Amino acid sequence: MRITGEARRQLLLLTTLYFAILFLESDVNHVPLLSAGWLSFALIPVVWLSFSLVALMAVALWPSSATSRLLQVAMIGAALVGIIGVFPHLAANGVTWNHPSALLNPALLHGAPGPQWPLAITIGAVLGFIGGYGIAQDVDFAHATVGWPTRIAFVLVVIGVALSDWLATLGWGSSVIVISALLLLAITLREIVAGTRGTA
Amino acid sequence: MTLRRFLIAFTAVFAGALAIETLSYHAIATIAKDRWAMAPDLSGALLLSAALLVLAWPQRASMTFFVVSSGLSILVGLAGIAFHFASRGVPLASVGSMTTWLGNPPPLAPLEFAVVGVLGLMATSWERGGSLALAGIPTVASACYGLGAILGVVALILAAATALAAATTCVIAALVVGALAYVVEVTRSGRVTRSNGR
Repeated sequence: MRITGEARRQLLLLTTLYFAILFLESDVNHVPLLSAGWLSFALIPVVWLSFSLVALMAVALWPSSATSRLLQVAMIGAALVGIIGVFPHLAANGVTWNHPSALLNPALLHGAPGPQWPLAITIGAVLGFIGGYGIAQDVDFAHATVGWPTRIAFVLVVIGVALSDWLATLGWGSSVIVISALLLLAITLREIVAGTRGTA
Repeated sequence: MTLRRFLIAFTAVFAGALAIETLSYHAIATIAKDRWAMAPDLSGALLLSAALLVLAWPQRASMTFFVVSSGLSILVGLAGIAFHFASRGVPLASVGSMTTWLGNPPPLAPLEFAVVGVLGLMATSWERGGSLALAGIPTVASACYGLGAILGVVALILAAATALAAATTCVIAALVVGALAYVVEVTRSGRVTRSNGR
């Protein structure tokens, strides 16, 4: 099973889009918790998703063995964050060692603290890991240029992530992330339709 | 195992997970108020079924069905953002406010349907993604994929009839059967290929 050039770029763009979605959902639900005193744990997915987004964009802009390794670390970490995140989400739904029967509650999957949300990060990590595997040996990918629409989308992601880190600018940050996500979707679709290299 | 078949199987898992998610979130009360809330329930089950069908029966007809289902998923994702945003009752002028994005319904989450739809399109469009119809796939794996596809269609019908709990059960059953088929494909087809090589 081998992935090269065009396919790799499409998959990495799609993963970046997916992580932007997850970042926004994680951020708008976790940052308000930080101000309520849940500092340590609630910060982990927000920080790691930001790092993963940076790694995904870095490997697209500067493909090398170093950025490839950075992406592998980011994706393995994201997979772990997703799996470990299930437990605090279960606890938030009342599932504890003393009350394991809460696992059978049909309402477990409802609402923002549903344990399935962190697993979405693990799903995204699988895509990113496949997209990033063996980049250093992929000559097609290394020689492809990243077009200005993709660069604009990446800049918007960075601005959105930066603004979203502060409660005061969270609203604006979220708006910028939404715009970047829609732009990434359009670019990915264009890549699929065009089927040519280095055009986006 | 080829990348194309892996990504189509991954699309099935992703679509099934999203179907379970929306079948849980979009409760009967919500659907009674707004029938459009049923759209992602149906779209997720449809794409799950289409993906498993392609794996079971890789022909032009099933491929077309899969591409159409992926396209529908993209449309559902894009429309979902507008619906979720509109259901909050906030004006566009307040996009800079935190309350515009905080809480339920999650504003950008519907775009996950677009992501899974794009993933499905990708898996079909790559020139070098490997063959879809592989020799040596055990009959039991193909049969399980087919059973999963049928369960997906049953889930679709149940979701349309707002029997959401039964639909969720069918989606879970389809995912289990599909996963079993993939495990059989990966483990058994490798052995068949090797023994043929000898």
